[in-house]
Amino acid sequence: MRTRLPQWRLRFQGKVLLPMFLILVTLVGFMFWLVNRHFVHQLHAQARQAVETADAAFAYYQAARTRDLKSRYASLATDSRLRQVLQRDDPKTLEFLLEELLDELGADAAMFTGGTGRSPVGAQKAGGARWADLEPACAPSVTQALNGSFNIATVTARGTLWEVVSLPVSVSEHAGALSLIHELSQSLAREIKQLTHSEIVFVADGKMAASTLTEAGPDPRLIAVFRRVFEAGDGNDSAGRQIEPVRLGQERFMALAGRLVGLSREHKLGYLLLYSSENAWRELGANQRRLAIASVFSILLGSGLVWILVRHVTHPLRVLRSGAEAVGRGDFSRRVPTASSDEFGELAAAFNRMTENLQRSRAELEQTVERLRTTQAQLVQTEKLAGVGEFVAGVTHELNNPLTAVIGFAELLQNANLNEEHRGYVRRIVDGVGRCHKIVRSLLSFARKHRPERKLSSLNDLVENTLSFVQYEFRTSNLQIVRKLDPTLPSILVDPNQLQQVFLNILNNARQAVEDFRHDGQMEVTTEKVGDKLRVSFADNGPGIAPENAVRIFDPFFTTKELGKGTGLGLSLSYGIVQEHGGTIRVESAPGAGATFIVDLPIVTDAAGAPMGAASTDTSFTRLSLEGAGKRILVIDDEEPVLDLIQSTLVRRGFTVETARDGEEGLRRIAQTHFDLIICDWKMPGLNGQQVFEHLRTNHPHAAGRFIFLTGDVVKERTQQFLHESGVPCLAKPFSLAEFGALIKKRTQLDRDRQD
Amino acid sequence: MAMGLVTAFAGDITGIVRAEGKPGVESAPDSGGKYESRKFKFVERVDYTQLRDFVVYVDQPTAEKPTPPAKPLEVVTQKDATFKPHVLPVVIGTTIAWPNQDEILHNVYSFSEAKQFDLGLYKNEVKKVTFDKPGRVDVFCSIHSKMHCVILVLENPYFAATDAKGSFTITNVPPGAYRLKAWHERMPSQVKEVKVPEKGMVKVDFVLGIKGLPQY
Repeated sequence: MRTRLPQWRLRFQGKVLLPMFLILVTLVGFMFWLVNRHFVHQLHAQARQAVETADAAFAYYQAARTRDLKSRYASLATDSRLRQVLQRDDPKTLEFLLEELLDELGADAAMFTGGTGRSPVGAQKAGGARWADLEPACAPSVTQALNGSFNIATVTARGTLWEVVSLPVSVSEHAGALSLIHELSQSLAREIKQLTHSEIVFVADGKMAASTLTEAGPDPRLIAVFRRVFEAGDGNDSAGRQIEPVRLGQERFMALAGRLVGLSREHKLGYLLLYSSENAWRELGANQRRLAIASVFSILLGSGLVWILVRHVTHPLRVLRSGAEAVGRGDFSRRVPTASSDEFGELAAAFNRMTENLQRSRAELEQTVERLRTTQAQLVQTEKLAGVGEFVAGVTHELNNPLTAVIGFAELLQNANLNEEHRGYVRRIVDGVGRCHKIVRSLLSFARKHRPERKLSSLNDLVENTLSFVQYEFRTSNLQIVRKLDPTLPSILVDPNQLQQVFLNILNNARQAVEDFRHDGQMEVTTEKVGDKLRVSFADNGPGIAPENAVRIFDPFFTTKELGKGTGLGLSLSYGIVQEHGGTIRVESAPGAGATFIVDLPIVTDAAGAPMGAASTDTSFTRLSLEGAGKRILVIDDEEPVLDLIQSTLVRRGFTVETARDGEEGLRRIAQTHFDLIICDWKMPGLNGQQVFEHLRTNHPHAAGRFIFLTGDVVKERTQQFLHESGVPCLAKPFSLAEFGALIKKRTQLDRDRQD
Repeated sequence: MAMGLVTAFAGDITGIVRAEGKPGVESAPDSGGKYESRKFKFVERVDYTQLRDFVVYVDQPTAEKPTPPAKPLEVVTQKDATFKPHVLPVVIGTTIAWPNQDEILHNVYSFSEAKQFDLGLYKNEVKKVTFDKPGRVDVFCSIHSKMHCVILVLENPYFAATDAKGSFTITNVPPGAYRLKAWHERMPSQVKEVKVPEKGMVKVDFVLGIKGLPQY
């Protein structure tokens, strides 16, 4: 199940690109700000410098003009016409002369002030200021001239600025001052503008006297600017010139205010130089736009490049992601190309290794699961077999009783007077039943749940027993068994059941391998003494075992058989059993040349005594014929045939036999009569053998000591445990008469010995 | 006078004098052209068609001995700081009166070769000067530099000043061949041979100017 991603997510590219973009914008913006600041600063500095230059030019102009005026008028003092006229002291002639001089000298007005008490004579161009205004304005200058000093001053009258040049004139006794007055007019302002490349505004008494800013008109703002600028730098009018940017209408200027040379300080006579920086500003604006466009373009370009770069860099990442997704879906065959040698390459290589490991692990897991499944099936099979074993035990128990009767009566028949032909028949019956007996007993002993129990056993007998189990199958599978048994082998202390299972496993495996391989199979079973060990070898001429299987052949669950046919546990169990006995099991094989399983067992004989139930069976029946004379035996069994057989057998041996059909009857008889031997079936309706025995043990302990159990069921553990604890001998059904006889003999003799 | 009666044979010389500039210059007197520039700001522009005060006279001594002037007193007034007339041809021996009709003082003086004099500053007064040598006499005022007049002292009485239209008439000229000269104070003079008949008029026109000047 795929986790649901949020609707909006920032891709890796975005994560790189966004900060990059922000950094770019910040950087470029900062650069832009810096450059712009520098340019603006520079522009201001340039304008400031320009206006300062203009001011210097204006100052120079003023100085030059002063010099010019002075030199122009210096000769006037000695002008012959003036002298002649003054000598004659004729005001009208003087006035006319002054008029003429105005034309000649280019002044706007001329005035002659005679000595004390004389009214001045003046002449002026048409349209000038009225004398009434002009005269008082010129008075300080005139006074200075009357005192003999040639001076030039700027004065104001009726809102207009005037330049007054006053020079002392003296002809004989007539002394006076000649003043020539020039208006600081628009044309002069224009001249200054041409010189300084700046607009100039003359300010007189807080009014605009002349200006090159004709279109602006008498702008009150200009005056305000002048006031502000002028007063800011008023403390020291020469050095502390104040310069500041101003804006008039649409145009930006750098303004500088200065003081014109005046005689009276009260008059605020000044000028305002305005350097237009509008063009520079426009150019700056254009540059700003260009810079901005370039910045935006570079940001976009940079971002685009970064995007491409990041895309390129993260390409392996995406490949890796798709690879991971493929692996996530279970496609372990997917590999990621590891072309690059950088971290991505390493990552891809690691990813590929991981995928390989995953793939392998997964394959192993699948294999393991498969094996487990197989094993489970095999366990089920094993359990089934175990169930069958139980069933077999029950069935054989049921078979035991009739078989006991058949064996017994057949043996009795053998001793009866029969003709040769019938004797042959009976012999065949005895043989057949003997075989049945053997088979049933083997099945029982195999199916029985054994406590691990060591007893001294003959290895050859064990081998023979085992072979008897399998000889039917071997024969039907066309396998010939070749015995090479050494009869001189000593007995060893082993668990016969376990060893038989080992041999059975080996034989069964061999049979299955050989029967599929050839039709003339052979199994050679050898027993021998090798040093201090006994060796059993099972050599077949089958297909052999592949070397790679040979090393695993003893592993649990290792099998080469098809599913359901083998558990893979047989040889493994065998290995464990042999090891427990301190022996070794190994296999020698060449493929195609058969296999040889070799079991070595140490010779251990620390427990002495003859094996139980394995007594020699060759005791002659006839020799026991009269041993039971005078002895009374009680047989308790619910099975009529068994009862009859035992009765017949014992009667023939001279015993007095009484029978009881169940436990209660048996106990009644025992209470009434003394019996030398009590043979009791284990399993009966009503009181069973055990209960009878328990009863006797408490009520007739003497009788309990002469007890023999007959049982067809020695499989149950509790039974075995009881038998073992009580020490009561037990005869397992079916039993041959020989066995029975031996036990009776032993029991009665024991009894007799005790009596003796 | 008797002489005039006796010699009944006399003719008149008449004609028109005008001046002419270089072609194309005067055609646009006010447009200025290159004269508008600062370079020629102080160059006087001459409107030739407006020039007056021509004098035409017989430029040769007549056989007779100098006769006393027919009009022994001429007047040049000072009015509005100007001499009037500006050009005055007189015959030798004529006395000129210099009345100052202005309210201001004027001075009348001349440093010319033909006559040197200085009448000083005066007003409300008439002063006289007799010119007894032929030649051109430039007269000025010492305190008004624009005041200027020319007294042309001639040796014979056969002369005439042009009128406002530039026409002149010299009367009672004895028949004969003469060198007739047209004069202007600012232009080269021009001489023409003229034959005066015994009776009647001879017409002579002059065009003065700088056209005829030799080209260098």
